[in-house]
Amino acid sequence: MTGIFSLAVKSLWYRRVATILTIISISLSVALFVGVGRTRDATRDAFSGAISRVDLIVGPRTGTLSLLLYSVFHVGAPTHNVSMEAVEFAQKQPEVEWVVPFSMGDGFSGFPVVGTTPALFERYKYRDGESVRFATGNAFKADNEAVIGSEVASKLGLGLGAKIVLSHGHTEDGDGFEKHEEDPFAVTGILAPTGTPLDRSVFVSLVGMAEIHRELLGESAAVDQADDKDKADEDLHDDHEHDHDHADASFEVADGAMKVTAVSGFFLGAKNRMEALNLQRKLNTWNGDALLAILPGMAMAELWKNLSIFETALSVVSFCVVFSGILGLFVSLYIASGYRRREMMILRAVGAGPVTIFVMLAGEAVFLVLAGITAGAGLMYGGLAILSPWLERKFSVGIRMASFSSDDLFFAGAMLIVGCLVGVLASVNAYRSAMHDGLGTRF
Amino acid sequence: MSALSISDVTFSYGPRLPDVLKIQNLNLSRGEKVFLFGPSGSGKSTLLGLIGGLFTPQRGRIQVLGQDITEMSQSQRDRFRAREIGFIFQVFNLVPYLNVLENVMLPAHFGRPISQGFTSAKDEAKSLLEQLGLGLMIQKSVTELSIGQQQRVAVARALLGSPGLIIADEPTSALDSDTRESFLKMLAEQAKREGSTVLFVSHDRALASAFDRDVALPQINIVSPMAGGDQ
Repeated sequence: MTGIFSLAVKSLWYRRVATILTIISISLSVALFVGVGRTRDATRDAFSGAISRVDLIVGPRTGTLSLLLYSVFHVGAPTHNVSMEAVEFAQKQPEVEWVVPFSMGDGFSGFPVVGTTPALFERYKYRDGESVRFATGNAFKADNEAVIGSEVASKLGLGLGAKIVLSHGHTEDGDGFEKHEEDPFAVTGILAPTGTPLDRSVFVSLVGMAEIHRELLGESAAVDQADDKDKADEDLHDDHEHDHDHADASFEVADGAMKVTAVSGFFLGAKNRMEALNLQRKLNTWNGDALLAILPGMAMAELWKNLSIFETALSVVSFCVVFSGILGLFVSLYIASGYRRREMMILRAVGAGPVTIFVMLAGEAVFLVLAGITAGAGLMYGGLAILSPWLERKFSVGIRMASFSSDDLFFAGAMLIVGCLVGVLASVNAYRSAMHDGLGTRF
Repeated sequence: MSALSISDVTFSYGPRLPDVLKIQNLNLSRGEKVFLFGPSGSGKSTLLGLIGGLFTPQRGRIQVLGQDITEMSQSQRDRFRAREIGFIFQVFNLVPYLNVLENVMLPAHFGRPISQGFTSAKDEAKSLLEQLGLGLMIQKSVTELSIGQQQRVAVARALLGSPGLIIADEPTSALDSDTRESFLKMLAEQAKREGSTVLFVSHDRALASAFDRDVALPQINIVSPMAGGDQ
C-alpha cells in the first residue's frame, strides 16, 4: 500500500492549489467556530465573573434585574434608597460577616461614580474569587480622595494624584451636566484590570459622594429633603431640576459634619454561604425599609438567560460557518471526482482494484478534513496565544487557553465524522463513475 | 495454449437492462497479433472490460492465458490484470502527476512482475524507454510530451514486465499518419521481442494489414447494438 500512498500524495500535490484552498476553507471554518465559541465563553465568563463571593445584594424594593444592573454593572441608577438603619440591621445579624454599602448615580466623564467604603476592595471578588488589586496606589482614606478603575485611568490618561471633578447626575456621554468645579477629588489608587465593570468606575467614600450632592443642593435643601424622605417619589416627578433618575436625599448635616443617612444598597457576605437564603428571607421581610435581597448567582443566570438571543445568534453563525466549510469540502471533492475519472481509469487498467480506488478517494477526503481541522486548531490556538495577552490588556477579556475544551474536542470529532461522511459520499460518486467507466474511452 | 478464449459469453449492465454483448467464440493464440474491427457502438468497451476482468459476464467463460477469469474473485481478477495484461488507450494514457519514468513503473505498484534480466522495475522501465527513443525524457513531466511521445510512453508501460496480453484500444487515432506507421511498427517489434500477444482494436480498417489476422466485432457480437451508445 505504500505505492498507493505515494500516488495519493502526488495526486494531492499535483492539485495543490485546490488541495490547499480546501484545507484553508476547512481550517478557517474550524478556527472561526472555535473562536466564536471561545468569544462566547469569554463573554459569559466576564459576565458571570463580574461578581463573586458576594452572598447577597440588597437594595430598595425594585426589580431583581434593575438591582443587579445598577449594583454590579453600574447601569442605570436606583430610584429609591436604603436607609443606614437597614445597613445596620443587616450588619447586626449573627449570620452576617461583612456588609459593604454603595451609593450610585453620579458620573465622571461618562464613567459611573460609586460611593462606598474601602472594604469594597477587600470584599468584592470577581471570576472565581479573584481579589481586586491595586495596579498602583491604595484605597481612598479621606473624603476628597478617589480610586479609579483601569479603563478610567487609561482612557482619560489619569495617574496618581490627578485631580478630578465629579459631577452630579450620571450621563452616558461626556460629563455630568452639573459639574462642580471647586470640589476636586485626588486619585489615590488605580485598580488593576479585572474585566469587570469595576474597570469603568470611579470610587469615592460615601461621605465624598454626599459632598457632591451637598454642593449641588445646598445644605437646607438637603436637610429638607432628608426630612421629607417619604415624598421622594413625588420629588422625582415634580422637581424638574432633577431630570436625572437620582434617588432621594441620602445625607444630613449636623453641626457642620456630613452624616450619610441612606445608600443605594449594599453587598453582604454571610459567615456561611448556606445562610444566604435564610438572610435573604430575613431582609426581604424586614419591617423597616422595603428591601430586596437577591442572590447574585441566580440573578446573573436570569440576566444571561435574557441575553440568550446573543448566544443563539453566535451559535447560528458558528453553524453556518461549519456548514459552509463542509459544503466547500463537498464541492471540491465533487468537482475533483469529475476530472479524476481518467486518472481512476488508468489506475484500474494497471491493476488497481475497487478497494484501492475507494481507499484512495476516501483517504484523500479524510486527509483533507484532518489537515483542515489541525490547521484550524493551530490557527486558533496560535492566534489566541499571540492575541490573548493583548486582549487581556486592552479589553480585559480573558480568553482562556485551557488546551482543548470538551466542546472543542466534541466539535473536532463531529467535524471529522461529518467531513469524512461527506468526503466518502463525494468519493462514492467518483468511485461509481470509475467503476462504471470500466476501460471506456468516453470523455 | 491460447492467449484469449471467449466462449458463449453474454453480458448486460444490469438485470433489467438488455444484453449488450453476446459472443459465441473468440480465440487468440499466443504471440498472435490480431486486429479487432470495432466501430462505435459495437460493444468494444464492454468486451475490453470483460477481458480485463472489470466486469463479469452473466454467462459463458473467458480464459486469459489459460486461466478462467470468470471463476476468479474481483481482487484476484485485479491482481491478474495487473500481472498479465498491458493496456494502451486512445489518448490521455498517462497519469498527469507522475513523470515519464513513474508512469511506466506504475503497474509495478499493483503487482506487475519484472522481466528476467532486470533487477528492478526502474531498470526495466529505463531500458524500455531507451528502446522507444525516450531515454532523455525519463524525468520529464508527461504534460511536456507530444501526443506521439505520450503514446510511446503508454506502450512502454504496457510492455513492462512482459505481460502475456497487450490490449491496444485505438492507440493511433490521435496520431498523424507518419507517426501512426512508426507507432504500429514499433508496437509490433516490441510485442514480438517480449513474446506478448496483441489485441489491437480500431474502427479504422486500413490498419488491419499490419496484423496477422483481423476480426470484426459487429460480426461476432450477435446482439444488435444499441443505437447511439458504445455499450
